[in-house]
Amino acid sequence: MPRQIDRFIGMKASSRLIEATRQSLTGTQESRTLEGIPVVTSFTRSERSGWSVAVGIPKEELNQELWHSLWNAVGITALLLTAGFGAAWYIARRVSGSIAELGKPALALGQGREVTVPRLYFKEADELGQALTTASTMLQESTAAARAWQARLRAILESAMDAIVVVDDEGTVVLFNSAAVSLFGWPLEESLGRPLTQFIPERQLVLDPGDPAPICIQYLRTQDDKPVFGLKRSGEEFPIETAVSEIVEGDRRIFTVILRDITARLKVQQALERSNTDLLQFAYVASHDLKGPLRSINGFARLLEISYAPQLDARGSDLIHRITKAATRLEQLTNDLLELARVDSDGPAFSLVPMQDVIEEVRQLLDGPIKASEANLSVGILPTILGSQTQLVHVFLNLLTNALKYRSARPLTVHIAAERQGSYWVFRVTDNGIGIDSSDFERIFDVFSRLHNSQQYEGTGIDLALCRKIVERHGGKIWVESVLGAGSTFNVSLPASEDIPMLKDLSLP
Amino acid sequence: MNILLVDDQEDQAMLVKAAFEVARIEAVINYVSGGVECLAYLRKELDYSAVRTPDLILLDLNMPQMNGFQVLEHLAADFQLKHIPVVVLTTSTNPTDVRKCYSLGCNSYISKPFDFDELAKAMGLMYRYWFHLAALPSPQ
Repeated sequence: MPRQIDRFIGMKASSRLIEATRQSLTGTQESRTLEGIPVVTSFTRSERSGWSVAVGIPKEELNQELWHSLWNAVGITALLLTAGFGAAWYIARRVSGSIAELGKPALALGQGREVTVPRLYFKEADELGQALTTASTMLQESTAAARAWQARLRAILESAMDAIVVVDDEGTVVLFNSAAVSLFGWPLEESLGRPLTQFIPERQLVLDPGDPAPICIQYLRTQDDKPVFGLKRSGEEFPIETAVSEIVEGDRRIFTVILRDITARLKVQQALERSNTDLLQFAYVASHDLKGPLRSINGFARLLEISYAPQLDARGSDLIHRITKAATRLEQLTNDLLELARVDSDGPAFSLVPMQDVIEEVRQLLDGPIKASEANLSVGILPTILGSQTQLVHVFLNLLTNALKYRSARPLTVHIAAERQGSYWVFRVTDNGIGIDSSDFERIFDVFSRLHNSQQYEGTGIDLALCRKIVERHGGKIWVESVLGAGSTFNVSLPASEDIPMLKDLSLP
Repeated sequence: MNILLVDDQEDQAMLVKAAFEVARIEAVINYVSGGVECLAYLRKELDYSAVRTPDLILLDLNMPQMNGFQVLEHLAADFQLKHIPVVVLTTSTNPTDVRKCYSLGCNSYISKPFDFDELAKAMGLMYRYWFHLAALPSPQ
């Protein structure tokens, strides 16, 4: 319905409006139009002219617009909320899904299974997933390595020549390798879980209550000089050699025992000892029982020569001479052999021996030959060592005799000196004789090894073997350095006496 | 000059006797082949009732049945025989044997030289010492 606004011209505004314009220059107020329509009126009054302008908007229209805006706002908000919730729910689903996705592989990883986690939507979860995959690969690799190593260990254990038994701290068998099975004759399944004492002769077991180790370990560990025995299923006892090691695992201990049957070795050892005794016996027999007839041959031959000199022609004398010479040489050999056999068994006791005295004694003994060969013998400062003077004189007498014997065409010089090397003194006898080929450096110290025929040089060939035996009895070594044609140096190393604990004790004030 | 030679090996005894001859020593050398015989001889038992007590005994060590050490022990324990000088004449050069013999009462110890000429020389020296230089107990 068109409004006929012309009819309001000239009409007075409502008194409320007029009142408001009088009170303030601008303002808003609810009022009614002249038609009686409720409106919201804004007015402003010019101060210069005093005119006021008021514009009214019907309340109904204004409210309608407001509600409209409100509904719009509510609608949009609701829409946005719904979308937000939706989005949040979706994202939450994806996140929890990712995490749930990680749960399974993590469990599998724990169970040692191989795990491959697919790419995941959520970055952190994805990173975690990839880390799980890597961890799984690494775990698989190390598990495989451990398994391979375990298999290798098992193979070693099973192929070991020695019986290997592991017992817990109660002495109960927890591991028994195949060598142990064949050594003791008990099958594996009957050995595991049994006490190790089952494999040891009962009468051998004496418990030391002060020792925390199980009795079987106590027994197997004591191996000073006492032989240790094992017990087979058949009841047979046999000598064993053992090595026991203890492993501490947390609060419990396990013991690894390696056992070896030494029956065969003991037999060989006994045979060797017997053969050594026999050899010694032989040496004595050789020295005494052979020497008797030998003396007779020698003596009678010489007696023949003396008593029948007028009847003997040159040839007869020569033959007799050869008999006595051969007998003398045989005598020398038997003496040397006897001495060699006696070095260890009947060797004289040790005392402090000034080596200067030893060399002086040797020099006096060889006074004749040294003068005869016009040898120039020089001796350095020599220490005192612990040993047998008689035997040491023997060694250096032999070395010096050799130097005199194997001299070259040059004037012979022999120098004897000592040098400290660690806990040893090394004595050197250096000559400028014919020298020794390097291939003979070892051989010359063997029994009956003579490099030269007996016409050229005298000697039985036992001398250096005897020297070596004496030096070894003294805890030292003997060796030669030589240049063929230039000379030889015989080295004798002997323990320095101040390093011998017993002597240290003696030297205390 | 009466010497009793005790040696189980006849050859050796023969050589010792020959050594005396070569050394031009005129001594009466009687020979027994073992320790048991030696004691019987000295005690004038068995076949030895008519023998003369020797001035000196030359005693070998290594003998079967009764060895030289045992002979020395028996002599030392027998007051009728302990005054007779005993010279041990043996092939042994073992220092233990030497010491043992002196502690058992022997009067000297000679290691028998292997060389016959040396043996003759040694016997000559020994004889001259005991019969020309040293004083011997007179027979009772």
